[in-house]
Amino acid sequence: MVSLGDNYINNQTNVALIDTISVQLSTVKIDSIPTSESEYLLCGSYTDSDFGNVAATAYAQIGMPTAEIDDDEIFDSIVVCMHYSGMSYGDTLLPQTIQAHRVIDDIEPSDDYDAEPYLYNTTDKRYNLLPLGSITIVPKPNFHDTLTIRLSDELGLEFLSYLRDEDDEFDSTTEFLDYFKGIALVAGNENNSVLGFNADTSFQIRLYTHLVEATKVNKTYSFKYESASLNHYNKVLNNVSGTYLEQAVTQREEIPSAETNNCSFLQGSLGYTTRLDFPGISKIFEVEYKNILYKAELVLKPMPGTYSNNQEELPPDLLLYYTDKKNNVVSAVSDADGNTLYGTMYYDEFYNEYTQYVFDITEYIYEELSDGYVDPEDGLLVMLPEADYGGTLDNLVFDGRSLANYRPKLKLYYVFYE
Amino acid sequence: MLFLISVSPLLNAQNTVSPYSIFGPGEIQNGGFGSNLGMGGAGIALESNNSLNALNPASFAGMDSLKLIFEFGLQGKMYNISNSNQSLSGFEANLAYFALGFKYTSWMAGSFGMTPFSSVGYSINRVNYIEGMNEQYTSNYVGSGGITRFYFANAIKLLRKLSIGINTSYLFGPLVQEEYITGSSIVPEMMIERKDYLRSFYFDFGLQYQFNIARTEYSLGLTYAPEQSLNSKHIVTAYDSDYSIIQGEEYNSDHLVIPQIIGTGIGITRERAKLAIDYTFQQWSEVEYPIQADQFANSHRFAVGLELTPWEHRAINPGYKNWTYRIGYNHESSYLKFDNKTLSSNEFTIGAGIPLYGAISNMDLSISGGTFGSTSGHFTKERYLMFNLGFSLNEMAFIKRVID
Repeated sequence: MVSLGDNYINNQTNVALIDTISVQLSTVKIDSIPTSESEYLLCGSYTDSDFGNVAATAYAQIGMPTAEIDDDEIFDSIVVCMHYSGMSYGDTLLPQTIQAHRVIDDIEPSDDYDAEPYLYNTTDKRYNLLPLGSITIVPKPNFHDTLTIRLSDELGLEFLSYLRDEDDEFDSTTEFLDYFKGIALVAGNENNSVLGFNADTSFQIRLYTHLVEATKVNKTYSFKYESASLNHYNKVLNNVSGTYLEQAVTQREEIPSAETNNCSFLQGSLGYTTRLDFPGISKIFEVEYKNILYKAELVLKPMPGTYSNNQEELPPDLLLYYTDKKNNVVSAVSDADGNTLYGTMYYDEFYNEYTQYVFDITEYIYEELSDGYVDPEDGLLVMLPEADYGGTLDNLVFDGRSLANYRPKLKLYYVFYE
Repeated sequence: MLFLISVSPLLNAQNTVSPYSIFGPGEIQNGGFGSNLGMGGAGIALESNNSLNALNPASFAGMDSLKLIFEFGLQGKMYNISNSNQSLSGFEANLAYFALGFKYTSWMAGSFGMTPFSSVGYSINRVNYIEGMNEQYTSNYVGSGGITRFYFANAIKLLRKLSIGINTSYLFGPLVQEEYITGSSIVPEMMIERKDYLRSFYFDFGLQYQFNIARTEYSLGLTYAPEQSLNSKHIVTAYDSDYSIIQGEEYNSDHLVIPQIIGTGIGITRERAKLAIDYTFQQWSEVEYPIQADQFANSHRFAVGLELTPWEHRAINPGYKNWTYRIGYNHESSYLKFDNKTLSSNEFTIGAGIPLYGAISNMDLSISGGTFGSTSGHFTKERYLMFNLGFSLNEMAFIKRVID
């Protein structure tokens, strides 16, 4: 058909992006974060301007070796070895002391938690105050593979004698764990970083011996951590006195971004999450024109200056959880296909302005609107994936300012028609 | 009523392809039957003698006494629509109208029939900006359908010279607009369908007055239709890319407005010549539709037609000598005005009336050639040749019944 100049007609349909519904940010400190499912052991301490002094202690059980031992073997040394995971927080250019302690409580979930057998960032287990060994290093987590700490010969000789005598302590893993409950990696006094180690079989105590026959034969016995059968967890605490987060004490009470310098916080193992509320969302019901709300996007921006110009400092994966009045973590928000919804990170190499996380929350908004009423107590929590947060100190500071280019946005895409 | 329903699709097969039909109720058809069509559409002042004149409801009072007249017409249109860079040609044909006229008494007559009232057919692309973003999307508006008029007119002769008529019409039929939105990463592909199912009464009125000066018969005609809102069932449905309904709404509407229409005409008959001059005014400036970007203008239409019977009717004449010959012209300054430019039309017509079965019935042939619009700027111009074939079939039915 021959078309008429389109300037002679008005459009009957308007597509519009509306982003005037405000997004309110607040910080919630989750009472306890399960850390026993993570793949990492965290040890050390450092001071962060937002999160205060953060100290992590890793606890891990170890299993007993299976090899037969010769009566004539002579003790050489005993060490604990671990592989750097590569992650570190704080200043790794300064010396760092790590102490290995013998744990004296069972590293087992408390019986109180009948629902979920987890160990939490707040779980406290006692250890022998006299360290088995310690090391002071300038860590190079991305250069070296392994960190080895020499342990006291006393422990080595004890292990050797029990092994040699085939004592009850080495009868079974259960009895061994009863006797040697595990290792705690504790930050020493001189500390400027938290280091991550793999929570797998690379975490082990090695007992070195030798046998004098025709020649000297060196032997090694490995007491390995096994993630399938043994427990580990990270105790992670912070001292927030003097920081904005001093106010975040209980999970029930969220701290609005206005009271924390117009930002909100997220951190893995300490349990800081950002709560999102959409106070004006019921305005959606007041739209007078016939409309189709076909897409809803949530845009959150990291506060400029809280991450150095390095994409790796920003957690790549963020997801949203439903929450209620008491800031309970209810369940993860899904997309239209029922898959867990992740935010997409856009990194602006040149200007911070376009560094942002975008969540397509269309399904969530549809759900909220479906019964014609939006519960003002409903909100969302922004969190790291569950598999990660117990073993990371990854953190993010969201921009809660009301500047047009930085503010958190709820973008509603509408088709208006008549 | 069943009859109406079964025939109406024939009338609606009329398929306008003018982009201008996006406005209002579509392109309003001028009406007029076989003999009017040969005279440039003129005839507001003319009486229905042996054939029906639907241009003025008062004209039916002038039907030759005790006759039943059946009229129907076929129409074929060759058209070419072009603008500065595109051109489209085609042909369409359809049943244009049918009507029955009958005399109740010597002073009262009536007629009913079906005629097209308006028709719609267009496809227009429009590029829009997304509000709040610097992004574009395209809407393609496709229109179809049309309004069919079933009329029932009654006329009476008040004095020997003055006739008045009232025409009650029922307008029905769909007006359909489908808006296809081209999808992108930001805009969803979708279609919004807007339908109006017309079901509305429409009224118009007419007057005719005849007088003689010497051997010349004069007649004056006046027609009037007040501004009327047409009732329709308005259905808006939004479909997604799979043609599943996302949302829909249905309500009764009267947003289709037909403006006030005033027609005047003069008829002059002397010996075997008949001249008709019409002027019609439509007050579109009072009417607004949401899709129009500019105000409508009032429309003015002038039509002039001449009918000649050069030879006296004789049974022994060769056929052509018993024919009636017609010629006409009309010009309309239409209601469409864009950028201060009013679109206008011009049309020339020639035609002939051929007697059938002696002098009782007629076949009317005519050809109209016309243009509408302009190819300048963003406008389009329509050029067409229209072929009309009309029949006026008369029966002495009432006489027979009296004899029985």
